Amino acid sequence: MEIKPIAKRILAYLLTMVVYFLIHTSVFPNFQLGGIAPNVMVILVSAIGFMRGGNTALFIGMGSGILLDMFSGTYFGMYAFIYLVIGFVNSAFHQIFFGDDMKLPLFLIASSDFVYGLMIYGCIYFMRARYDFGFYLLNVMIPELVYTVLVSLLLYFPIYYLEQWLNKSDKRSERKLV
Amino acid sequence: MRQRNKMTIPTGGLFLVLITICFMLLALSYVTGFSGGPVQTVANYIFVPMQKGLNFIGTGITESTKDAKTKEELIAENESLTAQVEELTTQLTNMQLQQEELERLEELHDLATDYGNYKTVGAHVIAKGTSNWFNTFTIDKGTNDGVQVDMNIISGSGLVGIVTEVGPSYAVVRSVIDDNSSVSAMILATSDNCIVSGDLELMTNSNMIELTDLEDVDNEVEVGTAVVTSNISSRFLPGILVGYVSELHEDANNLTKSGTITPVVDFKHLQEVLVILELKETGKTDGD
Repeated sequence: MEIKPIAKRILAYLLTMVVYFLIHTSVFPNFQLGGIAPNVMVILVSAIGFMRGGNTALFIGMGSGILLDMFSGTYFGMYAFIYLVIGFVNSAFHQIFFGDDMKLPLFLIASSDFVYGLMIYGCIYFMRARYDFGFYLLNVMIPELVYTVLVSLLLYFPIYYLEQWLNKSDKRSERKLV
Repeated sequence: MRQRNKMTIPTGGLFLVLITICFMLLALSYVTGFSGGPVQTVANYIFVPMQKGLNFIGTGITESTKDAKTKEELIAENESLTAQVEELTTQLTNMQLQQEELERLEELHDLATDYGNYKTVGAHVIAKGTSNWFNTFTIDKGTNDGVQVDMNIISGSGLVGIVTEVGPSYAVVRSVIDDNSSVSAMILATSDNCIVSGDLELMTNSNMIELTDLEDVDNEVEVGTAVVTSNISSRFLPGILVGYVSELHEDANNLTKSGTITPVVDFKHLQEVLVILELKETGKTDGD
């Protein structure tokens, strides 16, 4: 029996989310550079955001956020909110995304990570009277951004090929029906 | 005919709905301490086994790169360690004498202190922080092993942090160097109370944590004095070593002092920790 394309897609996204979450929490913290680990979940949410767009981006964003919330012990719902916004903003770029160019994906992933940093600084640190923005910019946000972009050169392609494979099998099943 | 497969919910509308859900979750967790509920249990069985395995491999790789020390380095290290052993042995003898004296005096005073007699359970760190902004990590022991929220975590002789979330077989720990953490502590020698709070900026720059609100009227506290958790803390058990004072200065109000503490725990290479299976008795009953 053939699995329905939509079920296949959901399953594929869930599996990718699990794998990227494990990479985020258990692999890269062992390879920190100067105490900074890359933000793998931002790569996933941002990439699916501009590749697939629409409601999928929102669900992936919020799902990843909730996953992180469960394993972080800070305010439950904070990451869900941040990643939801990242997914939403990235989905707006779905219209101008064409697979053959790496410039837009890298730019979007970098900006997403920067926005993520800004949001955490603004929501948590600034509220607690940590006003030395320059320090956090140079010691947390920029290093994380650079490391994330480097890592995304590696982790972007699995998502890209997965998306292509899903689109292809979608088309195939459509043709069969017509 | 296959039009029904097309999603017709507008993205903007869904975004607003989901944002509202996020804020509701935030409010719920703020009011009731909700942290996932049933989803947490599901996540527990999916992620914890895989995180354990991955971390085992990751640790293996880091350890094997660490092995590469030259012979000269080893000889030098051996020499300095031998010297240290001698020094420590003398110290230990002195301490034993003092300990015996202490025990005798305690018997006299009928003070059965239970420092160091806490029941503990060992745990592995299986996942480190979800972000560079927070210093939290996940351990592989949960409610199945008797771990509860607000239990203290130690490593070696020092305080590591406190459990903030717990699932069936995992627990999330917030370490004392986290920017959000603050511990009610006291100076061991003088029993003066103070607050020890983590600071990301201080930690990145000099590997230290902040000490504030120390009332040291007689100017007795010196650099190098041990700082332990205080007996008036509501969540930390008394007498756990946090670190040593490394710098101290008077505040502008001329009443209190602040400074920095060097923590005793090496937070960068934390792999095994101990969970103290005892909650601080605060005199409050549940449901207060």
